[in-house]
Amino acid sequence: MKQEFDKQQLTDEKLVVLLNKGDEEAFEILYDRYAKPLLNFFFMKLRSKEKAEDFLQNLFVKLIEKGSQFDEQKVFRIWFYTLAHNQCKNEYRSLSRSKVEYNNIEDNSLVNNWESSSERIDSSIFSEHLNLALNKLNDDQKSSFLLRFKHNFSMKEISEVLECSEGTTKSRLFYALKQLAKELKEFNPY
Amino acid sequence: MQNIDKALSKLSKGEMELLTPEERTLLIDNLESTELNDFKEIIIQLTQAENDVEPEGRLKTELLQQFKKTKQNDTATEQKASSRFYFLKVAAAVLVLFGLGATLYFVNSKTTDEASVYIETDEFNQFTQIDQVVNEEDTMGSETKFLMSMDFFSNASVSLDYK
Repeated sequence: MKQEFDKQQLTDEKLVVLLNKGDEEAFEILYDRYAKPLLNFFFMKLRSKEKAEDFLQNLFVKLIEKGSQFDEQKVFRIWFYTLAHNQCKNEYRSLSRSKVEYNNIEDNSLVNNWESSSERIDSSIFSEHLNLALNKLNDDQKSSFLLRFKHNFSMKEISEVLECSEGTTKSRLFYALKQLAKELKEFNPY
Repeated sequence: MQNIDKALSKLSKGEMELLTPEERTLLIDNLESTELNDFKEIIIQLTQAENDVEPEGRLKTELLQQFKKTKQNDTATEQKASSRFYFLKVAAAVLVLFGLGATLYFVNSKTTDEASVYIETDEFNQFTQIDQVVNEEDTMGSETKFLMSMDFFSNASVSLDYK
């Protein structure tokens, strides 16, 4: 019981070391820490829960099989999100998914039914609109936005995940927010 | 950024006529962005407050099973590799022993051959010595016979005249 308590207190990096040695509990703790945020990361990017779950499963299988490739000196969260981001990037490359899906959706129908008023912002409708607007962003802008505002990554961490400079991250975030504000102007209470 | 600072400075000094069309646009965008920034904040807050999707329970079970399976396979592979290594070690040891045995046998048989050759040579030498003795004896015998025949001639008072 004492050992279990200790493992919960361990850092991600130490848990990966245990996981590589075959510690099932370490794997379980890492799953509990990352499954939900990463599922949401995939879901916001792919807009399909099934697909997001497949991606999540693949990501954890990678952790099981290639966990030994993780450099203990690095930050696990960044390494893991980089894998997740690259997985989405590959998906976009192979299927040009974001464009195809977005074009298939009648996004204006929702907007047209919406009366612009701050009092009437309904989170579920906003959520749908936000997803549609997010899909108009390019993959890097979308990832920057989600990592910053949904997963509370610092600018530096985002730059490491997306393998770019901090300046690029800042400008991506600026344009992402500008674009989102433009797309979601029906919700603007001002 | 420098352009907007320049434009704002002109605006604060009331030098509206000095503003270039680009600077005017920049100022308008900037004035708009005050409201826009507030809206951006709302977007961020709503994004953060958005209902999260939950992973299905079966996913964890499946992944845990996969984890166990992979680790078992890894252990089995490691054991296989170590047993293969053990067999290799045994095979190498057998080969070394065989090699040593073969070398020893070869060296041993060579020594025996040499010994037998030596014995033969020795025997040969012994026989040769006997022959030599016999020959020597023969030589001595013929010399004695000669001397005896000389005595015979002298005793018989036979004189031989040589011309």
